[in-house]
Formats: sequence, C-alpha cells, structure tokens
Amino acid sequence: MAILEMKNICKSFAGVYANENINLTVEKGEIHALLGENGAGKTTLVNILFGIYTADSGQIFWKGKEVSFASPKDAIASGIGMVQQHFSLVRKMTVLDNIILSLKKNHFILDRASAEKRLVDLAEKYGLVVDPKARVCDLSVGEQQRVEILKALYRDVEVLILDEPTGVLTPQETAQFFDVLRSLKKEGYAIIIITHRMSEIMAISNRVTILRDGRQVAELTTALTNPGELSRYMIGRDLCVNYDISSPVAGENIILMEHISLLQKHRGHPLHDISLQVQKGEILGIAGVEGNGQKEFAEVITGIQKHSEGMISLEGIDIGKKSVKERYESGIAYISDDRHNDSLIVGMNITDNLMLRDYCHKPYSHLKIMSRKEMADNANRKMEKYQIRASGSTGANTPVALMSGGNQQKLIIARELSDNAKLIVACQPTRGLDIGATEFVREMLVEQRNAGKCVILISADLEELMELSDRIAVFFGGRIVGIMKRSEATVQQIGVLMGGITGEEGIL
Amino acid sequence: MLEQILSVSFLTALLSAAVRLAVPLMYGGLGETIAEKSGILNIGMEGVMLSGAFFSFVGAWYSGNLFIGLLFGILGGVAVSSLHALLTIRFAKDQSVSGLALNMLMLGVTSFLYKIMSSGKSYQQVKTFSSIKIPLLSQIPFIGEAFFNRDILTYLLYVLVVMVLIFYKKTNIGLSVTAVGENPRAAASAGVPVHKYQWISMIFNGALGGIGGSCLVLVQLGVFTENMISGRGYIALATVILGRYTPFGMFGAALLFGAANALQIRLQTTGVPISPYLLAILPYAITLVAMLGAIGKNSQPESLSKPYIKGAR
Amino acid sequence: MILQAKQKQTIIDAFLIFSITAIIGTVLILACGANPLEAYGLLFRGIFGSSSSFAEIFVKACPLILTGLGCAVAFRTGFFNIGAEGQFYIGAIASTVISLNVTGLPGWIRIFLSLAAGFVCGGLWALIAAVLKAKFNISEIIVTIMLNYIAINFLGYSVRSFLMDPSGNVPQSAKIEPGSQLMILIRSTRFHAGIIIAVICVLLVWFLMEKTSIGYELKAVGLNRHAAACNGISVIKNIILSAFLSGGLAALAGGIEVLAIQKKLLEGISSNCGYTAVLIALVAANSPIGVLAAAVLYAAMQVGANSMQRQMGIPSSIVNIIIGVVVVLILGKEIFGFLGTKRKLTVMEEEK
Repeated sequence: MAILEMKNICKSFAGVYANENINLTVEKGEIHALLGENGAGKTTLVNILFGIYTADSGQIFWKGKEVSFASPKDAIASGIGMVQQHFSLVRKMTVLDNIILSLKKNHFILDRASAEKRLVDLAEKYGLVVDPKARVCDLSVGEQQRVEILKALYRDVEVLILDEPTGVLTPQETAQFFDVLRSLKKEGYAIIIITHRMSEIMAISNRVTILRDGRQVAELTTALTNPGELSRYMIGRDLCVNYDISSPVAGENIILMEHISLLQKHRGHPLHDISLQVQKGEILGIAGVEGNGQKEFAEVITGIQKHSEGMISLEGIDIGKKSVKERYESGIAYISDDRHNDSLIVGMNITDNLMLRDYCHKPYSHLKIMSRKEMADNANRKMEKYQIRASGSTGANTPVALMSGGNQQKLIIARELSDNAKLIVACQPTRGLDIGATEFVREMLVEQRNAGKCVILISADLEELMELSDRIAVFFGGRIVGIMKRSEATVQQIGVLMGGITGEEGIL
Repeated sequence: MLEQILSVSFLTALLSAAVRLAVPLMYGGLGETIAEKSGILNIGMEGVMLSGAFFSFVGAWYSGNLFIGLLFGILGGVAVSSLHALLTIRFAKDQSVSGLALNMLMLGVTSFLYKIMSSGKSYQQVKTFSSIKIPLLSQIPFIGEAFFNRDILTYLLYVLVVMVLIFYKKTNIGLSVTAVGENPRAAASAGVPVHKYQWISMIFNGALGGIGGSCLVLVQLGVFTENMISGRGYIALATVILGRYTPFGMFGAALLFGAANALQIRLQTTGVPISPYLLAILPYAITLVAMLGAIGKNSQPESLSKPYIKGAR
Repeated sequence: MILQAKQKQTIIDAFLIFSITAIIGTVLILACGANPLEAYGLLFRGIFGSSSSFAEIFVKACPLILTGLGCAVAFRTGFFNIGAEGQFYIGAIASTVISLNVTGLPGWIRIFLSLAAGFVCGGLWALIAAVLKAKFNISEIIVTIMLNYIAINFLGYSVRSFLMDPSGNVPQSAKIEPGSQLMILIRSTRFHAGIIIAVICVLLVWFLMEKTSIGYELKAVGLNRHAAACNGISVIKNIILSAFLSGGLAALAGGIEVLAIQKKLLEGISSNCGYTAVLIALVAANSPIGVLAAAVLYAAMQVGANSMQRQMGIPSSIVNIIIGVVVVLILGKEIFGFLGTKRKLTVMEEEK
C-alpha cells in the first residue's frame, strides 16, 4: 500500500497553472524521483505536500487517510519532512541546537545530553557523520545538508522530500549521500527526490515521475527506462525549428575564455575549467538547468564577479582586471535574469534607469553636470524605438515599479544594446514575458547577431535556444559538458547532457 | 600621587563608586541585550530609561511608597518599548529612526510633565532605597564593600543577570528566541512564533530599562531632573556590544564604563596629570576596537535591526 | 492613475498628521492650565512680533539646516549617520584651532580656512565609520554614536588643556578675534553670515543631488546597492563620499556656531542638533529644500515656544513632544488604516 498518494492536484498562481492534475504515489521503502525542467511544477507540488501551499483542488492521502497540511509544522508532525534547496539553519548555533530547535517534546529546560545521544545514534545508523557541537557556519555545505536531513529524521518523519540535494555536493559527497539514501530506504523510509540529474535518477531511484509545464507526462519504473527516454519526456518531442536565421556571419573571435574557474567560499567551484570562444556575428546558446553555473558564468564575463583562475580576453585584450564599468565601456552588455536585483533601480523612473550605464558619458554628462534635456530626449527616443509602454500619462517619468515585466525588459534591452556593445550576455531574457515581449526580445537578439555583434544566450528554454543559436554549449555542474553546432544538435542529445550524462550511455 | 591612586582605600572606594554608577547602565544593558537577541535594535533605550526615571519619581512622590514608584517606573519603561515594538515589529519601520524619535519624544514628555508637576512647588525629593549589607559577603576585602553593601535593586540586578544567562543558555524558549534574532525565517519554519517572542523581549526591554531609570531616582538621587539619563541609554548600547551580547559580558563592560566614570570624577580632585576626559574616551574606544576585533567572529545577531515580514521572500 | 492615488494619500496623511499634532499640542497647553488661543497667539507673536525674534528663527535654524543636510545626504546613499553631533564638535574644534593660530591674514580668508578645516576634519571623522562599514560591514549606527562620545570628551579635554584660554580658569578656549568672527548682518538681531552659508549649502547640495552625475550615483547606491554595482557604479566610493560630505556639513555647523555665536570654543554648544537632525532629515524625506523648510519650521516652533514659556509658563519642551509625535506618526502611518483609509503594509505584499 502506498504510504502517500497525491491525486489530481491542481494549483495555480495568478491564473497560471503550476500544477494541473498531478498524481503521485510513493511507497514505503521507495526512492521516487521527480524530474522536470525549471518551471515544470516540481517544487510547487512538494510545497503543497509540505504545507507551504494549499492545493486548489485534489486530495492528499497519507497512510490511507485524507489530509491537508496548513503549515510545515503540521506536515512534520504527521511525518513528512523536507530538505529544501535553501537551508533553514541558524548559522551561529550548533548542529545539536539547530536540530532540537522548537521541538514539541522539548522541556522548559533543555536536556541536551540525551538529545545529543539520540542524535549521535541516529547519525551513526544512517552514516550521516557530523559533530553535534560544531557551529553550522563552520561546516561545509555537504555537512550542512546532513544536518538538514538529520533535522527531519530526528522528528520521526516517514517521508523525506529532497529538493535538488546534490547540486551543492562534490562527487565524493554525492556518493556518500547515496549510501545514506540507500540505508534510509532499507529502513523503510519513503524518499521523494527532485533532481534533473539523469545519472542519479538511474542510479538511485525506483520510480520516476516526470512533469512538464505543470502536467504529469509519465511515471516510469527506473529499471525499465533510460536517460534518452527520460529526457524526451522531460523536454517534449523534437521541435520543428522554424526560425530561419541566415547562415552565420563569419567573423573573428571576439571573446576568448581559457580555463576559467571560479572559487567561492563554502561553495566550491561553481565554475570549473571553462574554455570557450565566441565569434562576431554569432549567437552562442548556453543550455542547462538553472544552478549549474550559468549565472556565475555571466557574472564572470561582465565583471560582477572576478574569476579565480584562467584568462578572459575581448578582442585580444585581457580584461581580467577590468571593472564592470570598464568592461561595459569595452563593449560588454548584460541582460540579467534578475531584473529587480541586478538591472533596474526600482525607485527610479524610466529616464533614470535608461541612464544607469551612460550617465557619466557625453552627451548626458559634461564635467559631472547632467543634461536633463539629453536624458529626456534619449528616453523618448528609446521608448519610441523599443515600444516601451508606461502605464498612465507620465511617460518617461513613470517609476519603473509600475511597469509590466515585458516593458521593464524592453527598457533594459534599450539601455544595453547601444551602438557601443560588442558582446551581449543575455541571461534568461524572455523568462516571465508574454508572447509579444518574447518575440520582441528574440528579434532584437537576432538583429544584433546579424549586425555582427556577439551574443551569449543563456536560457532554460530549449526551444528558444534551438531557434536562435548558431552553436549550443551545455552546462552541467559548472563545466561545459558538450558544445555543438545547432545544425548538429538534437533536443534529445542536449537534454541528456543537461542531465549530466556524457558519452554514449545517454543516447537512445 | 601614583601611590595615592594605587592605595587600597582609593581603589576600594573607586570600585564601590564604579558599581554604583554602573547599575543603571547594567539594567539598560540587560534590557537592550534581551531586545537585540531577538533582533530588535532599540536606540530609544535613552527614552525608556528617562521614562522609567520620571514615572518612578511620580509614583514615589504621590504615593509616598518607593515600591509603587518602582512599579510606575517599570510601566513607564514598558510603555516606551511597546511603542517602539509597535513601530518596528508590527509596522516593520526603521528601528534607528523609531528609537531616536522616541528619545526626543520622551525628553519632551518628561520635561514637560515635570515642569507642570513641579511648578511653584518647593524642592521635591523622595526618600531613597537604603543600603542593605549582606553578611559575610560584604566583608570580603576589596570587593565586599563594593558589591555586597548595596540596595535591593542592585541585588535584584545580580539575580536577573544570572537568570537571563540561564534562560538563554539552557531553556527551550531561550534557544528559540536566539534563533529569532539570528535567522527569523529558519526559526519560523521550525515553528517559532517570531513576532510574539520579539514583543515579549521588548516588554522585558522596557521593564528593565525602566528599572534602570528608576535606579537613578529611587536609589541614587532621590530627585528627578530634566534629561537626567544624560546618554546612559546610548552607553547601554555600547555595553551590549562590548559584552558580546551576553549578560555577563555586558556586566563587565558596564563596570568598565562605570569605573571610567568614577575615575574621571575622582581624578579631578586629586590633580593627577591624566585628563579625566581622555580617560572617559577609553571605554568608547575599546568598544570600537571590540567591534573591529569581532570581524569574522561576529557575535552580533545576524538579523539585528532587520524587520521580519511574514511570508515575504 | 496610480500616481495620483499615491499623491492623494500623501496629502491625506499630511493632513491627518498635522491635525493630530495640533490636537495634542492644544491638549498639552490646556494641561498647563493655559488658554490655547492665547497660547497660539503668543506663539505667533513670539515668532513674528519683533525683527529680532524673527531673525532668531534663522539663527536657531542654521545648525539644524547644516546637520540636517548632512544627514539627508548620508541617508540618501544608505549610510545611516547618527554621528552629526560628534562631527559638529570636531568641526568646532578644528575651526577654533585654525582661527586662533592662523594670524596675519585678512579676516575672511581666516574664516574660510577655519570653516574649510572644520569641514575636512568632520568629513574625516565620519569617514572612520564609512570605512569600517565599507570594508568590514560594521554597522555605522553604533560606530557613529561611539564617535560622538569620543568627540565630546575630546572637546572637554581640549578646552581644559591645549585650547584653554590662558587668561582665565574656565574650560573654554581663548576668544576668537572680532576680525575672524562671522559678522552680524542685520543690526539688533543675531542674524549672521553663517546663515547665508547654510542656505548656500542647501542650494549646493540640491544641485549636487539633482543635477550632477555624482548625485545620481549616490541616489542609485542608496536605492539599490546591488543593482548599482552590477551596472558599474562603485558602491564603496559613493558611501565614502557621502559620509565625507555628511560629516563635513555637520562640522560646518559646529564651526559656524563657534565663529558666529559663541565666539569661543566651549562645551555643550550643539543643543543636541546632531540627533534632532536625523529626525529633520526624515520629516523632510531627505530632500535639501525639505530640510531647509523643516529646520526653519522647527526653529520657529522653538522661538515661539520660548515665548510661550516666558510669558505663560508653558514648558518649551513642548517642541520636543511635537516633533517626536510627528515622526512617530510618520512611522506609524499605517495606524490611519484603522481609521478607514485603505493601506498596504509593505511593497512585497503587492503584486510583483
């Protein structure tokens, strides 16, 4: 009998379905993988299970009884635990304190001695080695994850949900982690693991449910499937490419990256040994599930983060030491995936936001004094050319906060695609935009490419990449695991690479 | 001259004065520690203590009873801290602005009410709490006189410091409150009622700050004068930092400030070449260095002065 | 349409705050056993009654304008400078030192040098907190408060030692020569040249913030530090610049107080303007012209309240109550929601 059954779960946000009639059954002693691209609805589904959201319709059966959880506390009390992608740990407190924090069965005076004993026993049983007295801030990310798992186990959960658990682990830690999962499984725990890594799904799961665009497209037994089939379900059939880009404008290499690595404290190497060349008049698409180093890649090129090893050059000049401003002036433009945090200043209006890069250059600024007239003219010109619409009648003085996502994106594009730009780094540029805005952005990028500029297009939307790119590189785990001409690429092949499988094993 | 300073009688008297001067600071510092551990910065401690001082005077004067005065002082402090809590917890406004506004407001309110209360009347003074010698302990050379020949509010302070320490180190709620100050989101997902605990911390912040202000009136001076807190509320903030956000550390830091203050007063009469004003700078400079030294191993609650808004990500 | 609704809301809020404050003021006056109409009449007459008292408004406003300006510049950039008090005194000390020691130059050059020295020293004093924040991420709130006390005590030391007037036995400096004092501009009042300097500073700061790329950068950093950095604006440079300007302006207030009013250096001459400045900047929403208006308004209230105190016995501390109430009401605007006007608590709860 299945310990957990979710039937016909539906959930929508602001009129958009995140989950549409999803069914999920999990047995005791099973590891059930949940596979899907970004935005497929996996996290929404488990958040409903964990009590963070309430389903619009559908039922959840826990041990045969229908339940509905109003909060994570309720879910945990019933026996459902979750380890989220972003940990909920108090860094300055010890491991033990984090685990016993606010437990129902705590007495007024804490009994740390017996709690520690219980914790150590639990940890040893499942191979989750961790020092109860260590402070969380002194632990590696892998060790912190162990604390999160122990937190759930300590609360006597029977189902453990893991959201992309191996993204933060080294290969060795991943192997240890799988041993832990296997011993939990032997003990009868039911485990739901959300992952996009095919090799892991093949290695550890009993069954896999695949979601796409909020719907459930398959539930398979792992032993009877393979990565090729999985990726086909995940992404959909091979798409017809109907965007006819003229053949690549042959050009010199404009940007060259050799052995670029990025080292971050407590996070290891988000980027490892990246070597790449991009030509003028080319769109290089970067495929990959979010979180595999693409954002760091974009930031290392634009200068927001400085790489730790390797060399980047633009038109033959080493730009490694150049600041963000200098790189912009050398011709690197940036369309970030996080408009509100990276690209726009929400408290300013359209005119001022358009100036964010060029405010100190002529003709907008002369001897530090700004020319409001030039700025206003520029704003009007750009608003006309890029059809940036502002709500209300205040035109260029509209605060950016009142604009729609699509118009905000047009503003950013209007600003970044100056004549000066040689390389455009676009990170998820059409995410969250309506069809009209999406088409507009794609047209702009193609226009730039045809004009001889270089475009690096980072996107989780494979259809977009297949339509627009001249070449496609696939990121996984901070490395480039494959790079090919678009004419040679298949969606299936890319999907498999996105899941981290290289070589022949993945191709059906 | 140096022998004069280093003589036992001088140092004993100095320590006694230091403790006396430090006690109001310690109440303020203890109250502020409690607030900051839950993530709320209360720069308005000055106003809390002033309110406590004034209302303790009012209570004692009109009732003739020092304990009623103390009660009024506590209520006066709680009122100010509650207003701060309303603005910073419920309305999630900037904690520094709120604190400064309350300082200004209480300065005005207490001065105003005092002027009305005392207009035309002759000099108003209340009896003060007398000293109680603790047998045996007060005979310990050097420290006995300083620490164990004091009034009940001082003894109450000792007890409270220990209780607060035990509370945070050993109790379940103490652990939860600590989590609130460090990572309220993590605490909330563990089921801790974040805002509720912050409110309770602020009530204690007000009560203790109120007692601190009351100390000045009911123990030391017997009178109320306008702006009598004279910056002690701000110094209380420093003692919390210097004390690394622990009660005992705060105690030691407050003693340091008290000692510097006592030394400053005494040195003026002995004609020692070291300027008491330069000496007075010392505790503040040490606080700054302590903040510097705390880089890397910062003991400040991570979520201090950041408003926690439910549900937002 | 949304903008119009917002503007309407602000006007309603302002009206409500004004009304509540007026009611509270009236109640307080009644509590003194005084007649409110008489009191308000005295308030007006106290302010507008004589040229000397009207001029006194600007005399009192001068330090508030400058320190308020300093706070506004700092807050705009996200640097929470509570140290205006200490910076004021540092400026006073530096200005005194230059003024007493640089002789043999024409008066106005001496004045200029003293004030400039004050400005620079105050700026550097604030810089300490800024560097600690920029490099080590240490909260500038506590640092600036500690620096206040260090500055005040240093002043106490200096007027009892190296700056002490040799001809007396009182903790104050030697007198500033009339030649290098800031002169009175309007006879039989205390209206002095420093006030003009303060107003010029308002205009300069306004120009800086609204018309120059420097001001643009400061504003960007204050609104969204990360986005500013992602677009190439140096956050550290701007925090340091705003701290320096902020400290310099507060120090200017101190220098002017010495050269125009006190004509010597002594303790306690700030009348707490450093802390009041924070509230003034808030009420003025960090706008330079707003600071000018708020400072003048506050000073006018003080002058009027002094008159009320002299003649009717209403304590002048009523002014502290009024500004405290105003700020509390500004912070607690949401309370008005309970009175019927629709209100949202935070931006985050709105649709993204």
